[in-house]
Amino acid sequence: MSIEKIPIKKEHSGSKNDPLKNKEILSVLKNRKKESLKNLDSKYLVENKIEIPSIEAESGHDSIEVEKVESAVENVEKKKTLAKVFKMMTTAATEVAKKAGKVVKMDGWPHKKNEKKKSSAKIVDMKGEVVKEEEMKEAESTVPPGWYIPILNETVAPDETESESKTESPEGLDDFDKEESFEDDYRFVYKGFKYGDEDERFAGERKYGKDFVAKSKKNAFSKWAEKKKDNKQRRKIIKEYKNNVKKLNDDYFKDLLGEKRIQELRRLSGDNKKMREWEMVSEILSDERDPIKRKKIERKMEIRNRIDRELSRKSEYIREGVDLRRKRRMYSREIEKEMRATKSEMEDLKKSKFRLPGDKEDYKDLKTKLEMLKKIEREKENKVSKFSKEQLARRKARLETPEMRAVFERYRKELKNDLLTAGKKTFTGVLTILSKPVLGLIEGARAGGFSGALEGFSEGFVDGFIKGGGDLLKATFSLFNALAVIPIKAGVRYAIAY
Amino acid sequence: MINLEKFDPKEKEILEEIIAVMKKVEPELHDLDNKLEFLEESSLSEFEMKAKEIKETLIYDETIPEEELETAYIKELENAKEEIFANAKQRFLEIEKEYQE
Repeated sequence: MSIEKIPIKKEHSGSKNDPLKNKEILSVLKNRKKESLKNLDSKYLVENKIEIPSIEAESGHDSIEVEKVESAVENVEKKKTLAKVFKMMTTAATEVAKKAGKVVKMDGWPHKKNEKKKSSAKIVDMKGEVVKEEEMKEAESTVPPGWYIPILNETVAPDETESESKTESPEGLDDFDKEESFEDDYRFVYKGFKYGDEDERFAGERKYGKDFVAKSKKNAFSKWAEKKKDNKQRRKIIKEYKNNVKKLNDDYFKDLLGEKRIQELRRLSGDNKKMREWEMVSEILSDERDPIKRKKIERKMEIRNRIDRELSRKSEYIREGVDLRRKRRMYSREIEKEMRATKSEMEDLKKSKFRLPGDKEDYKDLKTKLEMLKKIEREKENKVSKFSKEQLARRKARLETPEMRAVFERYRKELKNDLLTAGKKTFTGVLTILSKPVLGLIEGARAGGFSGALEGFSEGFVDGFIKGGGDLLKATFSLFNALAVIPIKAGVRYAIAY
Repeated sequence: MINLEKFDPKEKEILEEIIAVMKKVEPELHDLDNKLEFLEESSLSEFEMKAKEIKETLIYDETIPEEELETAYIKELENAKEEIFANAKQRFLEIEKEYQE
């Protein structure tokens, strides 16, 4: 088994201003490491052929040497051993620092495979002031790349200031104060996690402009109806525009502008064409002596101008709507993407059966994050309210009383009756149109002279048609329903409405 | 179904002709029937959904005090009813126009 020595720069042994700083800590670290090695289960180590990497740091020297066992990379079990060693070392360092009136805080250790995130160790005094902060490069961590050593997170129990220290700048307290006030702007604070508009991913209106709107609460039918209404309106305007312009062209431009001007206009496009056209009309108007003709031209041009304005306004409105919907979709996609990534991380942890220490805590944090993301999405949909749960329940109950239910039922019934009445009217009107050929035949046959049962039938039918209303429906329905393979449902439906 | 056998041959002939014309019209009548039924039903379900939306919006609407919720709900329901009926009426007219043309 080959052993590779990796020279490591000493990061915890003093500074230019204070050369003796932390020497005591390193000494304790060394001693604690030796103790921990003695305490390890030697039988387990022998069985698994594990060699423990040793750390040598002599007082006064500027380097720490770490022995790296190559095969250890392949042996996951070794991580546990290393983890134990590191845990003991860091606990010892914390205790010593505490005795010296200082607290050692270590955070941001890479949690994931191949994560390039830099770790840092902060030494702060008991008041929370940062005395020293040092970056720990990955190569110096004595951990083979990709190893997950969560123990450093556990060395100092997370306290209330933990989340604040994550955003704390290393420069000093001035910045810290600034960030404190900035944190007040966080819109989503949940179980110590903070998300919100300052996070580019969830910026919402800040990112997508002031016109950012929450997801429409309209149902599919309303949306469809609205879209249809929009398009219909648009088509109507275009049709009106085309008709007017066409008429205008036919009535005036052909004669008025003349072939020469029309040819000139054909060579132009867009705004230039419009400008030139107006210039031509102005020229013609200024030359026109007949006041009636002038008035006619002006009126037509006014109509055309108005339609033009309306059309561009409508198009702009439609474009805005499309744009807003696109922005909303983009925003939703980002949240959804983040949700999927979080879920996937959670799944991975589950699959690994929370093998490593700290996995369960990570899982809980991710779960919290997921809830937070859902909350963000709900808020953007205007579904998060400032009302308390009790208030909301009370408000909901007020709208769900039997009285309110009765109001809803009354309006529903009224709407149903209105619809049936209007439907019946439409049906009758269309039936009259469709029945004309049949009635013509019956009338003809009647003129020729009916006898017996057919006469009675035809008389009833024609009388019904002449009288109109219920008799007509009855007569026609009875005839059609008698002949139709599938009975016409309207008969039953509108009979209810009578 | 009408039993044509009870009519004499001349009457039977006339009736057969009438039936033939009616059979031609029948698909259109069924089409109309379905259109009207769909319009009526979809308008009613739109009203039901709209009522749910109104309720949800009002519950979360911070500008409306608790004691005014019922009044606001009734007003909104009435508006929704009228709006939906106006849309449906427009559609009814369009349907009639289609056949007239």
